[in-house]
Amino acid sequence: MFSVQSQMHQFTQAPEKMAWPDMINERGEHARLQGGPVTTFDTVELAFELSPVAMLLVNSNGKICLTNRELDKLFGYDDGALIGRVIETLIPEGMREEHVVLRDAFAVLPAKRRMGVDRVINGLTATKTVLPIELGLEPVCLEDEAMVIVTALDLRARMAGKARIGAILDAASCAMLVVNGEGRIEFVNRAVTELLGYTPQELLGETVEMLVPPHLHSAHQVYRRSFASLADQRAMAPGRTVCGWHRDGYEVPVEGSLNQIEVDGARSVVVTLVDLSERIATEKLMAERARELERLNSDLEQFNRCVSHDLKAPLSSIAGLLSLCREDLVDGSFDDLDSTLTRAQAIAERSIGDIEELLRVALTAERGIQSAQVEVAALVTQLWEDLGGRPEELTLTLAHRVPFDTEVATFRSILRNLLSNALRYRDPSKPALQVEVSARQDNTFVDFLVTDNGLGIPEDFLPEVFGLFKRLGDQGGSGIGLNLVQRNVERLGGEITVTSVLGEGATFKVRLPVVREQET
Amino acid sequence: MMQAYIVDDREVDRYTARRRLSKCGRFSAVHEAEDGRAFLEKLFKDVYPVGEKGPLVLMDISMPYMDGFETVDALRARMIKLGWPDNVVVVMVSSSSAANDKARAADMPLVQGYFEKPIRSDDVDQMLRLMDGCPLPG
Repeated sequence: MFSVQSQMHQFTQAPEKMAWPDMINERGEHARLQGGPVTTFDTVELAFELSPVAMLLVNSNGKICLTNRELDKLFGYDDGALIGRVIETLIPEGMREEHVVLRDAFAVLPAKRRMGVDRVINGLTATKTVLPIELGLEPVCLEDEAMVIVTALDLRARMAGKARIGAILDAASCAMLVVNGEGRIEFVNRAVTELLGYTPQELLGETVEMLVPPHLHSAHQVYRRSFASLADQRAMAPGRTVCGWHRDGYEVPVEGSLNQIEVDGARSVVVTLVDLSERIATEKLMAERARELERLNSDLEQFNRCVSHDLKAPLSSIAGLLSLCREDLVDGSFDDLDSTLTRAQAIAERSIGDIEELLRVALTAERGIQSAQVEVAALVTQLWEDLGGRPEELTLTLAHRVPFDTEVATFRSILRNLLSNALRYRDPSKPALQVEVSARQDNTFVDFLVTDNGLGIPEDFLPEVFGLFKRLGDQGGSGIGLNLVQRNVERLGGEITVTSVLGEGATFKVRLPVVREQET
Repeated sequence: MMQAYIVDDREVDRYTARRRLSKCGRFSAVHEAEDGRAFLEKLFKDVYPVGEKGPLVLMDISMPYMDGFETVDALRARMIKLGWPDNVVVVMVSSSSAANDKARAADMPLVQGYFEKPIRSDDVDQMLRLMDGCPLPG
């Protein structure tokens, strides 16, 4: 190849340097190059025969004057069969007319075209198959006639290689792109489209910042240039978690690695992107699960403490009382017998209610409860009666909107516990227990308040009041009630708060969100 | 004669303990407190006749505000600071049979015993032996 080029150089030095019109005389005929080497057709023919590259010689009318064996073979013609035919013979039909125009323009203002710029042109073989080739054009003046030496390079192998590499890279699960020295995208594989939404056509030739979140564009340009300036051509940036920018305008967490490569003297950077969104989502899910497990464990631990204390304690108390009764019987001392047995019975009855409540805590978490219309006044009155409260102790001031829809069982459990607490923590020093249940509503919330004139809650116990198995004093109960209330209120999307003055009473406020559908 | 304190938030358990202690006839006074704070307040207010052993403290574990262990720690801190009373005997009385509660009690210098509820007459005998083994305050 090299030797042929140097031979050919004999005919070609001049046209590169000199403007073509100088070589045309007044009669419009091509003039022999002044001072140029004298080339004959025979010399060209010899050079053609020696060249391993496909070559042909074409005159300004587009007629093929000479071909070598390589070219005939490349296009599938017998030796010399193309001589005398127009150059368009070797061009696919659809492009022929356009080519004639281009060829005429070239004849007026010829320019040398070098190979190696990857400009793929389609040729047409004798069997009418399309042949990808790259062309070199060399204007020469041969025996007073302006001609062009055309060299053709078969690109089939190179293109097949490229296609093969492309297919391999497309099969890779991670997104890959090749960015040239100017930061423009030269290649993308199929995974890029899946990851960032862009098709290869949208990306090829664009700057790589297109795939970077907008607020990082300037910074990325600086990084890119400093990376390109690294002396080591194999410089590589290890995987880092960065953000890609999706075509639809959102950030995608990716692990990006950079590898600098050098091909044919030009440096490019191969960028590999691994989608982290799934990994990050999984990590987040795992962390959530771990927290959930921790919470469950802590609940379980509290549950165990509850079983060992709050449920076992009443049985121990009963056992203690019964042993005293037996001893009293044996001693024949009956004075305390009735009161001791009454105490034991009361504890046993209270324990039944506590166990039911505990089971409800365990079960409400699992089953869904249907929403239905609730008659709050009727519900509160009934609960109060069931709990053993006197009608004159209860006042209702309900100003919420009706109908009121909620999970009936959950709502009933909330009210039952609050009312039961009001009864349990009554202040014996006051002449009468007073409990008021009130409701008020705006567009966002409906508040239910349960106010009593009972013992009240000491200020330092207020923060703990909703803790599982927290129980104040000896008014019975398992210490589950208010924790259950809080869980149930949260289940309905609301929140519960308490205010209290010790000795004066307590107010529990249950704030539930107003469901939009109810208003329409 | 000695004095005793029953520290328990459950009234019924204070009742049982009080009757048990009364039966043995060794206590001149049995005080009750429904939580640790009330107990500490009472203990440091009360006056002890010179030459009397004790007092004996029956301490529940699970109570609001301060649990039994926290109460014993606070008691010890005050005893060290004030120098008296120097002969308090604390026994834990709990419905918990958990090994970690027992181990924690055993680690406390002031705590001399651990009894599971309900306390029986044998338990009271054992508490009295503990008291008898103690030197007179001096």
